[in-house]
Amino acid sequence: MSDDKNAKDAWLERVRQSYRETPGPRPEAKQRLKEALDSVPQPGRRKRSALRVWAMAAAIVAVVFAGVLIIGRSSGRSHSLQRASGEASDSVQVVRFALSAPRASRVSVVGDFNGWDEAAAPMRRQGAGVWTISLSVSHGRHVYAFLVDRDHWVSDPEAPLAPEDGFGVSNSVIVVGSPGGT
Amino acid sequence: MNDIALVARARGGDREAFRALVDAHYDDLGRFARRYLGQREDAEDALQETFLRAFRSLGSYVEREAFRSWLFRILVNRCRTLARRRGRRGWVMMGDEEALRERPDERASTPAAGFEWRDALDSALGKLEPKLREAFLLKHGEGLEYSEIASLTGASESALKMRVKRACEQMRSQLESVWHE
Repeated sequence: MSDDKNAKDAWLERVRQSYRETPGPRPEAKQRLKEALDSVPQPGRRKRSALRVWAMAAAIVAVVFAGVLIIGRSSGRSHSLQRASGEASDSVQVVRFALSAPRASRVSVVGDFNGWDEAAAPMRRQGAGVWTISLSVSHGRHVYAFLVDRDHWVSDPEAPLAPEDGFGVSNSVIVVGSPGGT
Repeated sequence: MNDIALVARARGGDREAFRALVDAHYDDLGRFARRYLGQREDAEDALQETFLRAFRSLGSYVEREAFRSWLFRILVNRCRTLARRRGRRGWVMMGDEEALRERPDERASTPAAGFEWRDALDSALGKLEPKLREAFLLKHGEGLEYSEIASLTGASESALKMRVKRACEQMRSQLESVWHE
């Protein structure tokens, strides 16, 4: 092994050591997180009363954003996959997401419904630089954003923004479902 | 109890199980967030968002992926978002002064050369483009394979290798004067 390689390895090893010794977060920050968990809805289980609230909100959202976010309907075709049992937690509907980004070379929709996976939902470019995708999304409230060219996070200009959770991050909100869907 | 068992219990409504997952992974994720974002407060914000989002999204977690990897994917996204927002108000890296405020006991025990190295390392990381810093930290900080990093970041392995190579070149150039000891 050359001296240069030895020197390179020594440099990197010291970086790694410094990384391992990085000061950790403060214990009070972790405690704050643990306390905040109490105010977060339980995953995968929503109370029926909460569903009714979301269903009412869905009706309002559907009217206001019908031109951009098409909930459960696309060009008159209903894509509701709701099951006959009426269990809203088992229901999904097709949602069409759209973003005008004429100069983008790649756009995806990323949200809690796909685990914030950037690769899960790449959008397709349509005419006039509008990117679209239709996804099956479970009933309820979801938070999402668009990722443009893998680097630029963009909130949906036609959708309401999520409460900032105290951190100032602006994602968009969609409420999927209908008043009669519960 | 392993991660999969804890996730199963958390999905069933056991918040203490999820708190156990927080205990298991908080410091590891915090190390990356701190080095990526530079500032303690930003790193703690990224951690809080990451774990709260993870808890809300447990239903979408698929067990074939390690839970730690899933958390890291969310964290990387949150760090990118925070870095982008901070980019509009200027970049401030953790320096010796901040580190000393956090750990004043080090003032007496850490040799001056150690401070010089840490200062140079923070500065060099802060000067890297975010994409390069992200790839460099995941590769040489966390020690992940390129295939794992590709899965976390969505970038191709060849692109990641190039980013790490460029990061190493820039880091070495920045640190050249202080790493010989």
